[in-house]
This record gives sequence, structure tokens and C-alpha cells, in this order.
Amino acid sequence: MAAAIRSLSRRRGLVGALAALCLCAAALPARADVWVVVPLSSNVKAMSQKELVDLYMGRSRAFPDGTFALPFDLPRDDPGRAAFYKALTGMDLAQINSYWSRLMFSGQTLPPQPLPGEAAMADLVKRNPSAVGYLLQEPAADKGLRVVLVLKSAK
Amino acid sequence: MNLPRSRLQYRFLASALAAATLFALIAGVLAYAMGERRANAAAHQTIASMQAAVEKTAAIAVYAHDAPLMREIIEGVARSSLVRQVDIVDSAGKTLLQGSGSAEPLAAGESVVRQPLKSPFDANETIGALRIEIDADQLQRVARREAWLMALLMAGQAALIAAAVFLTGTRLVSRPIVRLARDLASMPPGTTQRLETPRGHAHDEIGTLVQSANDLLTANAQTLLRERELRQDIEAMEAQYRQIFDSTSAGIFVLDRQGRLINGNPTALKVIGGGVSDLRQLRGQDFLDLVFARPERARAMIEQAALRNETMSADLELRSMDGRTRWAHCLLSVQEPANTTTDAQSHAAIADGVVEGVLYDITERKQVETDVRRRAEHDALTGVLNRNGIDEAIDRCLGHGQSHDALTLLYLDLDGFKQINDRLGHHHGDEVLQQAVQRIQAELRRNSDLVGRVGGDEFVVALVHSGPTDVVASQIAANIVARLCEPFDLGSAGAARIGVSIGMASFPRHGRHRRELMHAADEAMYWVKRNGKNGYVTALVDAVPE
Repeated sequence: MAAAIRSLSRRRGLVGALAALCLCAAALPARADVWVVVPLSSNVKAMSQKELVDLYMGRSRAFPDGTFALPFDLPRDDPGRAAFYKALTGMDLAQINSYWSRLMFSGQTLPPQPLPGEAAMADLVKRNPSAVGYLLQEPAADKGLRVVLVLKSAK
Repeated sequence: MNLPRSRLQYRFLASALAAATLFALIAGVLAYAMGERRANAAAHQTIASMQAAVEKTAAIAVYAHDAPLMREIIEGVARSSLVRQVDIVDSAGKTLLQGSGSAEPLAAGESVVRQPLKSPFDANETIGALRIEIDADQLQRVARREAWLMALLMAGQAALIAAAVFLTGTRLVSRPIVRLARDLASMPPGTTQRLETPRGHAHDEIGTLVQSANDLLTANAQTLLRERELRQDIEAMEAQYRQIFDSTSAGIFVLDRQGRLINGNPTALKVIGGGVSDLRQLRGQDFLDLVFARPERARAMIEQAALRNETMSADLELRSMDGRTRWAHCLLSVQEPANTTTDAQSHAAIADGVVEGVLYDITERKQVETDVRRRAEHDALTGVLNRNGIDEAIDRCLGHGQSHDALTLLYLDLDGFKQINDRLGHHHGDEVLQQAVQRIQAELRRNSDLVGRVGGDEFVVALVHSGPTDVVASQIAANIVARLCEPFDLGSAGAARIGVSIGMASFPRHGRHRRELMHAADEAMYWVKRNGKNGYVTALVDAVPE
């Protein structure tokens, strides 16, 4: 029992650090912009916000030039994801989830595939010519990614 | 609810029914129209609500081109019976998905509701539309059903209210009134029955009505009772008067102005006497002619009575029915038409008034009167006039000295009569006197000649129409002297002898008045007596003193 309490208190320290980190992360979208990226191998040079919405919200499955597009997403509860959708559509995650839950009911239209994190996102997009993803910080030039749109965070 | 048994209740029911029907009709029509409108509005509201409910999802489905979701939506909406057809079209108007409803073209009047669908991420972008066709037939059916329901409800309400009004009115008003009317109608006049106040109506108008009716009944009964008493009084009085009329000692009769009998009482019949047993047999006949010996006198009395407007009375001789002279005291008065009696049979006859008459039988009194007068003027023993009687008779003949007719007086004095009286007694003396009068009367020629006894043995004979020069007078005197000198047969008393001395005087020769004539005759008689008796002589003219 005593050991359990001790273990709990040690864990609390960890939780506190995580919470602080989360707070920092949560604070991020409020002022951080979102960088939408494609691999350097992609023909897509730039995208409009509307085109991006159509891609991410299941209306379209192709880039404006007609090539197949494969959008990637962050995990469901990732703060970066919230920032992205907020910046992209002005909606919060609850609304986005509600939207998808209606479409997923029919089973025909599926949301973009989620990836474990930004590192995985950067890595996967770099290697897939059809992919499109987003990052919460500007990617370094040597990462093999092309920024096609920068979403300014909503004020 | 018992059936109405009376006219009032029937009318009440009819009115209630008519009003209920009218109200139900009006209410039904109004309710129908209202119900239809309401149903239409409700249908449109329902559809609008459905649209609002599915709008967002439909927009998402269109946005994502998600056919199953669209089908889901269309099927959901089409489930409503009001919806005929549901379509989802894109912004270009192309049908993305069509509902499984009727494919028939739209009938006229069927409405289509078109809901534009906006992009979920861009409010400015219209990405399609939700098109709903309303099933007008169904809408109509629903609206009608709704309208009928409302109309029925309103009509039912009106009918219920009418029934309630009728029941209340019947219980409160018409039934008590009907019962009162029946009870009142069945009551005989003057009844002691009284109306009963219906329960619970003691303090309302019906109670007042009953109270008033009962008061009237009481007043009516009292009036009837009073009238009955009055009638009894009048009948009793009438009976009394009838009794008086029938049994009074006065004969009462009523005639019309022509003298014809209208009515009379039994006493009148008795007074009249004769062979009539019932006055009614005389009705209509001339009563005056029938009854009175001198009807013209009665007629004159009636004229006088009418003229002076007062009752006339007189003793009238009745027409003799059996040879006896009968008299009646008669009062006659004339009633003017204004005061007519109410004998129904004689209305026509009394139009110009009636004559009322009263008769008293005075035959006996008249007889007594005659007897008295006779006794006053006649000699009881001989039956001829006494002094008084002969005086008046002579005066009548002389007409108080104005007569132009002759008259001769014979003054007789019996000679030797006193001796007979003394010798044979008064009884025989009276007999002699009676026989002497018979002998004197036998010598007279005329009925108008008078004989009077003016003293114990003195007589006066008045010869009317005989003057001083008339030989008849002397002849009569001579005959009387001769007759009286003859013996009188007195039966067992034998015979008696008397003589007579006669003095004569004539009007107007020996005087114009009875006293002068008597005196002259008396003087002459004494001259005879002094000069030998048994003779007669005429008075001297100059012997008459002035």
C-alpha cells in the first residue's frame, strides 16, 4: 500500500510535467500557423484553402490537377489536429468529429488516415508522392517537403 | 329525457333543436374551414420542420457526395405521408438522388418546397437543394379529416349545450308551467283546491305565479260565495214579495196602455169574481171592458193618472157576473217606459208604459153605506121616505126653486089613528100605518111620485109634473081619502077605521121652496081637520105668508 502511494506520487510528477507540456502545446495553435506540405516529388506547387478543405473533408480525392491525393491526419485528440482544422475550416474538433460521424455512418466516405504524430507525418509525406500532410512548424528545407499552403492561425 | 307532452315543451324542444342545428351548422362550417387551414398550415410546418432537421445532414451528404447518406435522408423524409416525392439536386440542378415516391408528374396545385443546401464549410456556397413535393391529396385528406373532426366537435358541443339548455329549461320553466296550466285548467270555478308550488320554485317567478293564481282562486271563490249568498238573499226577498203579491188582500194587476192585461195576482181574480179560474186566460184581453161596469170611467182615470203623473183612486162598480152589484176601490197609476218592469213576455206591450192597478173589494162596505143612507132617508116601519128623505127628494125635484116643472104636495094627517093606537096597541097601529101606506101608494100613477112619513100619522105625497090646475092631483087626493076611509083588516083584532085630512099646495103657485109649499099644504090640511075631517082642500093663494 505504501509502495503504491509512493509510486502514485512519482507518477504525479510525470503527469504534472505532461500537463505543463500539454498546456504549452494547447497554447500553440492559438498563435501557431500550420504548414501544409507535399513531397518534393509532387507536381503540386501550391493549393488554395478551399481545395484543401475539399480534400480533407472528403469532397474530393484529387489535387486540382487531377492527380490522386492521399491526405494524412494527426491522431484524433492531437492538439495539432485541432489547430489545423480550426485554421482550415474555423470549426473546432467537436464539429469536425460530428461531421465525420454522419459520413462514417454511411461507410462510404472515410476521413483522412491518422498518423501517430508530426514526425511520422513528415516522414510518410516525404516518401509518398500523392500524399499531403500538415505540420505545426515550418519544415526544414532539407526534409524533402514542399509547403503548398500556410494556414494562418485564427485570431 | 321524457318526450314532450305539451305544446309548450314541444315548442321549447323545437326551438332548442333548431338553435342547436343552426349553431352546429355555422360552427361546423367555420370549424371546417378553420380546420382545413390549420391542417394545411400544420402540414407545411411539419415539412418545414423536417427540412430544418435534415438540412445540415443533407448539406454534408451533398458536400461529400455520400449517396447512402442522401438516401437515408430521402427515405427519412419520404416516410412522412404528406410527402409525395423527395429529390436532392446539385447546384447545377442535376438530380443527385431521387426518392422512391411516385414518379407521376405533378398535378396542378401540388406544391414543391425547395430547400437550398449550403456548403458546411462555406456559407456562401450553395452546393445543391433538397426538393420536397407535397402530396396534395394526402394533405387534403388530412385537412379534411381534421376539419371534420373539428366540425363534429363543434356540432357535438352545440348539441350538448342545446340539450343542456332544453333539459334545464324544461326542468326549471316549462314542466312546472305545463303542470300548473293543466292543474289550473282542471279546477272548477269556486274550487277550494289550490295550486302546489313546484319544489325549488318557492322564491322565483313560478312561485310568484302560483301564489298569484292561488290568491286569484281564493278571491274568485269568495266572490262566488258572496254572489251565491246575495242570490239567496234576493231569492228569499223575491219569494217574500211573491208571497205578498199572491196573498195580499189587494188585487194587483198590470195592464198595458191599451188596457190589456199583462199580469195580475190571485186576489185580483177574486175581486173580479166570475167564471175565470186563471188570470192568464184574460191575458191580452181588454181588462177594463171585462171588469168594470163603466170602463170609460177607468179609462178616464188612466188618462188623468198619465197626465198628472200621480195615482188616481175611485170606487168603481164592477161588471156584474152573477146579478149582484159589486164594487171595488181602484187605484190606478201609469208607469212611464223608463221605469218598466222586466217581464220578458210583455216587452213589446210595455214599450209605451204600463198601467199598475190595485183593487180592493168594497162591495160589503158599499152595501153598508147604501143601507145607512137608506135608513137615514126612509121610514123603518113603512119603507117610505122619512121626513129627511122626503125633504131632500122634494128639494131635488124643485131644483132649489129653479125648476120649470110643476109639483103638487099633499099633506096627509090620519084621523082617529091615536084611538086605534090606544085601543089596539102599537102593534096594530103600526099595521094600520103599513096598510095605509100601501093604499096611498096604490093610488099613485107615476113611479116618480113620492111618499114620505113626516110624523107619527102624518104623510107627504109629492106628485111630480102635476100642477095646481091638474085634476089628477085632486082625483088622487079624493081617491086616497076614499081608500083610507075603508076599514082596515087587522086579523084577530078585527077591523079598524080611520080617516084622513089632506091639504094640497102646488109649485110654483103656493111657493117656490119646499118650506113654503109644506107650510101651505099643512095649513090647508088643518083647515080640513077643523072643518069636519075626511076631505081634501087646496091651499089658498093669499093664505101663503111671504
